[in-house]
Amino acid sequence: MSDAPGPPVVVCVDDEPAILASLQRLLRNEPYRLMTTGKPEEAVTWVLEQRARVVIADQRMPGMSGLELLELVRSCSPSTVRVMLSGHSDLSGVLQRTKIEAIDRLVRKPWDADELKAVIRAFVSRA
Amino acid sequence: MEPSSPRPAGILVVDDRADGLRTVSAVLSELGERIVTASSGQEALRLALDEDFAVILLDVRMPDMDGFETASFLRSRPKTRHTPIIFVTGIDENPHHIERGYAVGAVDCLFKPFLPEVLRSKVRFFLDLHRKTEDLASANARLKAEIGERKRVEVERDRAQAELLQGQKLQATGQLAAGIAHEINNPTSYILSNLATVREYLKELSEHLQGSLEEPLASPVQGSSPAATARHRKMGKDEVRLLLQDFESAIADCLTGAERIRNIVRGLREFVHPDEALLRQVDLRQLLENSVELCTNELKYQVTLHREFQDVPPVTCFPVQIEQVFVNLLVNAAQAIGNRKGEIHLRTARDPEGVVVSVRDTGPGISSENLGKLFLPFFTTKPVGKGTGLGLHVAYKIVHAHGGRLEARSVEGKGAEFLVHLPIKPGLPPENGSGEGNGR
Repeated sequence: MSDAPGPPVVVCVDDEPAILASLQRLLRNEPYRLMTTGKPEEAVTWVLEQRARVVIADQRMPGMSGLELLELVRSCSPSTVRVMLSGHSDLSGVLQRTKIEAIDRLVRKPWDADELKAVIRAFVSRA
Repeated sequence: MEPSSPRPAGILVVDDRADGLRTVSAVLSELGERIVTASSGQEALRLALDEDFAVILLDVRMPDMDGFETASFLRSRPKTRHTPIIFVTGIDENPHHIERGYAVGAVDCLFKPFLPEVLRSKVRFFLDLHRKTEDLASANARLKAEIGERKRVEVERDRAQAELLQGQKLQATGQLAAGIAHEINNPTSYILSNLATVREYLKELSEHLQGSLEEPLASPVQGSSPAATARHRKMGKDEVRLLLQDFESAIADCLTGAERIRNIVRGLREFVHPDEALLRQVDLRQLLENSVELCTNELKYQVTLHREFQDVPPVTCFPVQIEQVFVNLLVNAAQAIGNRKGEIHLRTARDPEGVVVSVRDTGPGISSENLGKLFLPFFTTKPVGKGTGLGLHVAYKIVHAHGGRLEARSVEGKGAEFLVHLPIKPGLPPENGSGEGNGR
């Protein structure tokens, strides 16, 4: 699939459907198309196919951790902005303190609605 | 019991005549006991109240206070109420005399002139009796002290046990805190997010409704007035329907999430309420019924409950905690059964270890691979959002802390059975492990 016309795409992956549903709701009127999935592999496929501007990943997922996913995206689609959406306890202390190449931005759960909107919008328009 | 004097109790001889005192003392000296003499009733009373005597030999005929009066006084005083009194009286006294002697509390009578051996043998008998009584009393006191000491040790041990349990709870709380934060964080995230969205929905809907209300007035002619459109964004029917639909599912998600948080907190209640940690003797069957009551919500539709309660002795435990164990097992069983129809069998029985309570379900059972991980914190086979993975872990911890055992048996496809083995009194936990591991 080549250049998909239309609004820019943001891919979000989390193993909890209720989280995805709440993000769909929250970001429904934002100037991009939000695609959500519970499967990290699907997220990677979408990022590539849709040339996603932003990818948002949870850290705790079965199969592949969020960090692993973002590392993967970084190598195969470097222009995609990588956001980690995670609770405090999900990342080890080292990960929390050090700057990690694979993560452009860390957003804490529970997120602030306005802050999350602003962050993603800024990344989408930057690209 | 009066504290006995350090000296062995002696013999009190009372006679107003010095030769009488001498005679009796001489005869009794052979016994090798201490002999105390008194030459009047008053003196005898004073001495007898001052120290313990094994027996009192009392002459009947004395001036001022005679033997009978003295005996009456002795009987009226607690200290001397039970001291045996032998009256010494002349053979010529009339029988009425003797009768009176017994009436005021004499236990024996000796007629003058007496045979020395008779006197000795009577006195020896009472000395013996006194010694035996004293032995018995001291044995009794020893026993009482021993019982008191045992009780004290028991109380001490219960207290230590309670402290140990509390310590373990605190440790477990620390271990659990990190995981719980995550478990609570996720639902909190989408509840908050959904509420923010729902507020927007509400705003949009109320604007839409305002628009509909004002429209007929503002623009009776066909089409809406530009002014009204500017103020109130009107939505199409489909748009409204979709919004309402999503409104509902957002609220439903919020409810599910909040329930999940509630369940996590309910699963942890025991770890955060030290006041509820009171050791009590309880009937486990009653506790089971209470727990069933607490789970009514989870059990009411699909589950048929069967009870098979054998007589079991009362068990000393922390009732609120054990109730928590049963609740967790019941909820677990109900969730295993899920939306199908199923049965839960509750059973109590005696056990070599004390008492065993079994909770068996007719759910899908547990694979042998999962059986070993069952009691690990946050291990769950349920879909995301359904199980906290804490219930069985908490149950395991509690039973372990009571010195009992939580055992899981299952054949895949044939349901699962959880066995709570509890000692009659909580002992020390069987091993020093942190409680993780399998239930075998």
